[in-house]
Amino acid sequence: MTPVREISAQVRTGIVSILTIIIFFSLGFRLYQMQIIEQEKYQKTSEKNAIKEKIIEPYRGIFYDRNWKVLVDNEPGFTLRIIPYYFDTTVIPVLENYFKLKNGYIKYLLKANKNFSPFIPIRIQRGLTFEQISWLEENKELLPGVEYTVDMQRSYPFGVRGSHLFGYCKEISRKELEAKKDYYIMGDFVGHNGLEKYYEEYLRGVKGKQFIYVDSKGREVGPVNEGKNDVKPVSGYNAQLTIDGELQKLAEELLTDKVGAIVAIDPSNGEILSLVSKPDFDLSNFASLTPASIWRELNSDKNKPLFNRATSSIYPPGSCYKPISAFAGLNDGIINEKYVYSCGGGFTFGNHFYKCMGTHGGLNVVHAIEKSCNTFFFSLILKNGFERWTKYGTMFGFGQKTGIDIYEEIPGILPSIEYYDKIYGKGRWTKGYVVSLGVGQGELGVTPLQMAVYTSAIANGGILYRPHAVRKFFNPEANPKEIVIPIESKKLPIKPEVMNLVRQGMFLVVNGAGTATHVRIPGIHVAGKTGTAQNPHGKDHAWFIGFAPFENPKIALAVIVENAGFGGAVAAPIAKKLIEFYLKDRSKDVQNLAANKN
Amino acid sequence: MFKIWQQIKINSTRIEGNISSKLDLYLLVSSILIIIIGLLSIYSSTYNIHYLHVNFYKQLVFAIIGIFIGLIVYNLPLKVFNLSATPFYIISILLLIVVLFVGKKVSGNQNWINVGFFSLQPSEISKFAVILLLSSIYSRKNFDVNSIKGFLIISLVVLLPAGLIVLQRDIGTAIVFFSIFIFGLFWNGLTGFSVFVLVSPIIVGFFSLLGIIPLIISLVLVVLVLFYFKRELFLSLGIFGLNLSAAIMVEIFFKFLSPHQINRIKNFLDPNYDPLGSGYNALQAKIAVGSGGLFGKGFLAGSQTQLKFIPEQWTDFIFCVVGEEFGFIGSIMVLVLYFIIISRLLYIAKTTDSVFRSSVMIMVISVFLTHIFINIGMTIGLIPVIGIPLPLMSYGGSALVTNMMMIATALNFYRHRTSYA
Repeated sequence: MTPVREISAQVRTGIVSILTIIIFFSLGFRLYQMQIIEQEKYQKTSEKNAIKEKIIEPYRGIFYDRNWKVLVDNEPGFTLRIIPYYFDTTVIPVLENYFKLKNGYIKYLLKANKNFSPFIPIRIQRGLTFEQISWLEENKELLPGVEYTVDMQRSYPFGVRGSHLFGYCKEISRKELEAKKDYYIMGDFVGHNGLEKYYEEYLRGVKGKQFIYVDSKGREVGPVNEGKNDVKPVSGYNAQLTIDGELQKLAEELLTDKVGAIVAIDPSNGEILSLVSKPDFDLSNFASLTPASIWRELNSDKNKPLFNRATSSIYPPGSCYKPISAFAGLNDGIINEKYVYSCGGGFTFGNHFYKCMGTHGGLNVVHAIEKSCNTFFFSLILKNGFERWTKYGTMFGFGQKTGIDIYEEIPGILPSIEYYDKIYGKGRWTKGYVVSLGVGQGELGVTPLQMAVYTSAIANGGILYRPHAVRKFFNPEANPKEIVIPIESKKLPIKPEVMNLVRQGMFLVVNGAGTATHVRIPGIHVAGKTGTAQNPHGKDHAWFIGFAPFENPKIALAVIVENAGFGGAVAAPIAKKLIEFYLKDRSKDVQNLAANKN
Repeated sequence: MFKIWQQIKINSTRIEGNISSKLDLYLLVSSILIIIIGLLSIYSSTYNIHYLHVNFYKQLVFAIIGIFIGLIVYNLPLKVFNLSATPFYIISILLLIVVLFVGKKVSGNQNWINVGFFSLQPSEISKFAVILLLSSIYSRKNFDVNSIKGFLIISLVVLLPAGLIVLQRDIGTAIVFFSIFIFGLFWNGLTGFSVFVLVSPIIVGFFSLLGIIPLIISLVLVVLVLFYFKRELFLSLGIFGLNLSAAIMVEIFFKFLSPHQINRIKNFLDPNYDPLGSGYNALQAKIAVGSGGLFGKGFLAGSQTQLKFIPEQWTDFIFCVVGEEFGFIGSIMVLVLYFIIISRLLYIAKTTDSVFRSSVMIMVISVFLTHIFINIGMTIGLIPVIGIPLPLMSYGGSALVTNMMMIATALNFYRHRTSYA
């Protein structure tokens, strides 16, 4: 049974035993050689010449406006850090006293970070003065584990606040770190909101590496191999925004002390010219470590200054939404230009009377828009049918995100049959629920951004652009050198004659006998629509949407001012000033500025 | 079925006398100690990386799973091992094919299947499957390793999984399969000459890496051995040619290796080839072990380990933790424990009268021996960096459970060692 063996089993066992002994002996001998004989050599390498990889932060991309003015820049700052592993806690009082920190602050930070590696530095204070730096240098030996670094922080040289538009950077959160641990490390600053977050990967660049010798106390001794192995950081892409810095500044000023939002768009390509939400906050407070007091203040403000109203707040659009019903009825042939409905001061449906702002008599669709006649549109939504109304709202981008490149955005609410079935139950709501939607009230919720995009589509004759605030990224060191943000659009299936009728109505709002005649600008034809958003919690919100010049629109905008009452009174004049400023010849100002400088 | 039941009954009545006659305490205790040292090392190497603390607990869970599976294996009737060999082999081959398509990459190799909360590494399991099937073949009546047919069958059984593993770019595991192949053949009566023919090209190939003079020395040695065997002239010339071409093949083979493997070899040959790039691990690992000294720097106090100089230390470079934090004494203790394990396995292989069980044991030895030699060897700079785990110590559930199954099999065989005597 057992095959004839050339070598006996005994010998085979012996050979395996010898092989095993050789292997273990050679491993053991090598260990003896390394750990006993050469121990000192390795010990020295380990202690004195440990090589540490040091990360070099890249230069974060900066923001230019559409006319190449620098809106967001970087400036160097000194940051005080401690490395817990080497840090001597007995010097805490000295540090806290010298840097005027609150008692117990360092202890608190150490405790908060005790789950992380004690080799990762903790930021204590940013923006150190030169005097403080030299104090640190003088007392270097007495302060083990205390160091300072130079890092870049954001600055806003042009005076544009852009709080919600630009956003700010913040130390990476634990959750985000878990998800992206292949690039980020604890303590990295990352875009937290706005453009800074949306384009984080373009802006941040690529970290560089520096190899340095560190001694057993973690102190840097010198570069390894004369720095030949170092990897240079690659700067982030600089961005040219579509924002007009001056217009943005003016828009911010016009909303000072008000609560509301402004979004202005170039109707020919969807470029955002200005985006403001008020109240806002000073971004330079976020450039470095944000003091807790400022956080508390911002978080407890009842007007929520951290919240981006332009993209994340929903309001009923009021009468500004009437053109949607007009589009639906005209485009599908439910009504035509000659269709007239008589307004007797209101509309009766069932046993409910819906009031109009006036008694307009017989009106066609153009004049109904001009006069903003509620009666006409109460009847029109019923004539069109709920489904058609929803369809045209969807067409103009309501109830969905616009796809803007600012991180925070909500889709809003566009009621539909399904939506009512869901909230009221199937068959438990009646047509009466729909009537007030006809004048843009009720459950309908839109963002100021959506309103601006919609206005822009009317201005350009029916093209819905994806709004965007960045035109292109560029960086001569990187590959590719330039990234142009593509313009995305869709052509809406609105017949040209229908478009003309609605535009005519909006033209008359300003230039006829409409609700915003005070917006007229000599030499420029402005078209628009006022609106009042009913507010169950207080005074109504004022809306104005508009575009100009009527013949060849260059700017479309939406303005909302909360608790300001009638739309024509507060919101429209703001829009007027912005349009006037944007369209007038600014070259004179520039010349004046140059003259003053000389 | 009835017969198997009877067998168990007979066995259970036989288990009497003192405990050491039915339980190999040396093997059991050594294995448990090694697992505990492994767990401590994983704990230490992930101590400063908060999101990897979970690795320690995962490994602990796998050790507990391993104990349960081990208990089952320990209590299996002997026949089950031989009977399950073929299905086990087929399943493992299928898993290896699956991993080729859905596998995820880990440090240059692609050999994991993600199964929800953990990843399965079929190449680990396939080692045991191959061992069982080979042993089953060796134990067949009239099987002759020195016949062409017998040799081809054995080669095929090994080449299939080994080929699939090479496709996953896992050279380390492929080497382990070669070791299983040689040990099994040698143990079952392959002539010394045949073993020489199989092994000498590998040795010559390895020496050719070191330079032209080592190559010439190795070739001279081949000639001397050929003289010793006194075979026909043409055969001897042919074998010499085989060895020569192996040296040339190594050069060509270099081109097929992935860049990270080429760099590892270059770094082995010249530790300063790229000290901060691909040679970084090898250099830092040596510094870690060497700086440990006689007593080590103490648990959780190794600066190399705690400063994270060695990436992914909890897997292939786990021995650094032992070397740095527990020093020469700790390292030697680990070696002694492994030596006890291998000696006991060899004792079981030697004392059993069943070809099947003896073959299983010798090939399990080959797996442990190869893993230990390559893993510790690369950590301390004896051989190039080849990524294979240290048995029972490295982080990785599939490997731990498979290794524990092998130990449990040995314990089982030990318990039954008198059943055919």
